[in-house]
Amino acid sequence: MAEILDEAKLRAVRPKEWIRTSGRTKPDSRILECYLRREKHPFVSYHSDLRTRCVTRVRVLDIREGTARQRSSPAPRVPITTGGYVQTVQTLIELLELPGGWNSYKASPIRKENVNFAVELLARLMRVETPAPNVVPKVRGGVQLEWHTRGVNLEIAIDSPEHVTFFAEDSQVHEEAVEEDLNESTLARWIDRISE
Amino acid sequence: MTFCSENFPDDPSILGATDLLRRIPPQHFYFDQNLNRLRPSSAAFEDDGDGDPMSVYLSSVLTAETREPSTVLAGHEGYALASITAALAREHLQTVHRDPLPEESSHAVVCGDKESGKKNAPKRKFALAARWVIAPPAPAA
Repeated sequence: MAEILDEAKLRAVRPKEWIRTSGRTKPDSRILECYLRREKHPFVSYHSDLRTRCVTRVRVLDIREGTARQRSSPAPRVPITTGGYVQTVQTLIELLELPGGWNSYKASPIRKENVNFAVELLARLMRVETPAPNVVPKVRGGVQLEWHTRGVNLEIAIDSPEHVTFFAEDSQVHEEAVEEDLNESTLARWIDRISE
Repeated sequence: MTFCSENFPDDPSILGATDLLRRIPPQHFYFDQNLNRLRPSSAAFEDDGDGDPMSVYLSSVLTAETREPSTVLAGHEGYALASITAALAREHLQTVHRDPLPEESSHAVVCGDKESGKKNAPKRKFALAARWVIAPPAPAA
């Protein structure tokens, strides 16, 4: 019954996009929550307190719901309910509020599909022990996720969902730095190095 | 003839020791645990969103006009100001080209591929070598 009600709620929400097309406005928490659910971000939803900020805190959904979804998808690496992940998702969502020219030069607004891709990629890659990345907007609407810890420099650049590259080096070992297109199994090994 | 040498030719009158100042927005600096210091991201040293070359401000022009570097941060609260030298830019196959604007006489551009080279990609080298002229403001308590 709860699922049916949720579906009905999702269908009732208009407009379907949580950022209105008429201009960059504050996200509506209800629409945002539905957006994230529809985009299959399994554990997180957002609440806004319009008296303070657009996005003020993150609520972890019922873990049983997440567990059920995990069974239907190929073995995720991690439970993504960690504080680091939740904090990162919140930061990513906030990037969508940046206006054009946000860097004082001619940066483009951050594109929703890049944020969406980052949220899903991190859900697959991060482990409980993985520290939160530095979330960095890119001037052409992309997103960069960076870790600089444990002697490792790891940067994932999402210029579009079709163009994702990563750079990785470990200053503590004698091996050449790598920079290549997205390869999640290789990336997962680098994530392991920075996870305690 | 490359795009940069044709459209934004290097200006040898800009000496190698000249500081190229770059505004760094608050989203583009963080604490690097490996280096144990705040530094700008490599993303802060990319070309503009519309493809124009990276903007900088020439310290030599500011000095000649007896202006403080902070003047290029006017109206940009929360920003920091980083510098790299013209010599470093040229070492990474960039041209340094004067491009004075009506509102900012010290404006120049740094033109060239900043992405290629893995560890030696110019944007990464610039981010690591950048010196704070005006450090990031302390976070609010």
